[in-house]
Amino acid sequence: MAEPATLPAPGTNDTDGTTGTGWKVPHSEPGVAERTRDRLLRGTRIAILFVALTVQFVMCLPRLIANSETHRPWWPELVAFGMLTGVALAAIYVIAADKKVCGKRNISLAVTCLLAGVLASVAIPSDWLISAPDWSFGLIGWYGLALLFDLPLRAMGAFLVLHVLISAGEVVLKGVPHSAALAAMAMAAVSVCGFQFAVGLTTHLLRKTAVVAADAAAQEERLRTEEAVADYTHRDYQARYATLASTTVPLLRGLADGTRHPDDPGTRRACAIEAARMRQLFAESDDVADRLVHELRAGIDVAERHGVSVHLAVRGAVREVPKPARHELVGVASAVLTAAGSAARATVVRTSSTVRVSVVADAPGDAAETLAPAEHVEVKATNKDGKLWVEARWPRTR
Amino acid sequence: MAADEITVTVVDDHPAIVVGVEHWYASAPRPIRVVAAGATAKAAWLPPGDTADVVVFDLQLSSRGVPAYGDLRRLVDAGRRVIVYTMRDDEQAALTCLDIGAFTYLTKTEGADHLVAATIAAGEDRPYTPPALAGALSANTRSDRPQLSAREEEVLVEWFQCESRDLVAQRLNISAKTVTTYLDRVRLKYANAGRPARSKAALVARAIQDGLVQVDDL
Repeated sequence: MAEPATLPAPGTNDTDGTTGTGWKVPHSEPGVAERTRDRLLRGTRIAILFVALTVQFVMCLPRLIANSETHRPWWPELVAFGMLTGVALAAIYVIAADKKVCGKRNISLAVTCLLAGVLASVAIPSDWLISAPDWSFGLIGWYGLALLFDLPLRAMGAFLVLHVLISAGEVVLKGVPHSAALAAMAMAAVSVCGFQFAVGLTTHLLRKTAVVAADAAAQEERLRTEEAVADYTHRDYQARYATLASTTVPLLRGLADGTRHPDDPGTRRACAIEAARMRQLFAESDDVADRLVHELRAGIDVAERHGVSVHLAVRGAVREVPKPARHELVGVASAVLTAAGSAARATVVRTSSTVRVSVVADAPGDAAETLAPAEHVEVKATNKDGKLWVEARWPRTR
Repeated sequence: MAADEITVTVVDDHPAIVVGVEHWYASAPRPIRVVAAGATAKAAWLPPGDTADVVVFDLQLSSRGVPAYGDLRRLVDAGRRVIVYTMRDDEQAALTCLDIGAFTYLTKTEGADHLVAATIAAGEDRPYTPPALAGALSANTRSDRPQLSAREEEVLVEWFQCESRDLVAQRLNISAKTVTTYLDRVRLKYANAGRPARSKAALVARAIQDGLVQVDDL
């Protein structure tokens, strides 16, 4: 028997999970766009982090070692290098452990980077700031980018501006150098940070495009699904009308040509069963949240019109039942309701694992033998003191 | 007044219900007497209703429009045995009432078959689980739901479905008395869970006295 692999999200009207032939309706996945975006963000973060690590260990490390000869005190530079390595390790851990990227944690790591930048340049004289010996200047920007590129663009912008302002503040505090050096510093700052901001901007645009593309793909998928469902529903209605034609039409013909008599209890019961089937068919085209109970009520209506008092009690939340199973659940209940003499109790119990429809009625015990064989549901009948109790349970346990 | 008479206060805003309840009690196997009746919970707080053994309480007092959980809680907190007797065939209402400490939850469609037995059980602090309540317990998905055995779950659902101990007994191949035992054990597990209430403690104490459960089981 085919069962839906997953239940559609609550609130969707797609109630037809499967057909008896195992044909599955793919339903829309709200997470597609988010998943595509997350994959892209992860890849981008790895790439930028790789750039930052290469810059740190291939370009900055030799300069740090060279600075040990020329600048005192040297230890703040070493500490700054360690802090940046720590930031890199933290970022790698988050990626490797596949943890949800957390904006707040990344902002605090970015602040650590800015502090490391200040430490790294403490001993560097004013003339050499934002130039080759100030190895941290470019590196800080790369780490900032790796940490903040997935936040709104202004976070990235604010980080770079703050970084430049801090460096400029250092220049002012340590004594403004001559204009040529100042110009070189400004050019270096603009070209390094400008390039980094441009990379950030590109990833931002790429991300937006990916989300739009994934949304479009999901929407197309949804449309295709709806078409498939509509097509299937149409074919199913035709099939069901065809079965009605093979049972209802002979009955009507028999009544018309006098071969069947309305006084005959067998004819009456056959009419009641056909009426219940037709009501179920009509009920099916209604758009209701609880199809099972809705279709069951159709069978109850027919029984009530034959003078049977029916009490219906429902427990448990609405849940999806594949259409073939639902037909059998309702079919079993309707057949017993039809056979009821004067009173019946119908119940629906739904738990996370099973859906059980039961009818207890003052019906002849042999009514249970006339039930159509069920393929998708398990039917149990108990008979005692003129009471017939039939339960249909989905899914089957054996 | 007979020594084993059970006294009842009926809180219901429909006079016909009170008359019907009195009529059912008149044919009870034990004497049960309605000592007071009223449209609001006041009837259960003022003499002569304040000393009745059992309060039959309509949750949906129409003047308010909302379930009277507050009135129910105050009665339970005062140590009264309250049978919630209501039109609401609603599992969440049933579970809430049970958690507050109602003795049992009975829908009005079940009244004719179960109110007398429920009242006698309440008078003796013995558990009573009518089918509608059993259905609510079987469909309970709340996080504080007590752990039930597979057999207990099955008995709950089947008792809800067919309303007949004999039919459940026949289907499960056990005696009708065993069916009742399973239902009572489930009821006690609920009495032992959630919000503490004197009525719940009395149920558990009585069940231990009767040998229905062992202290260790709970």
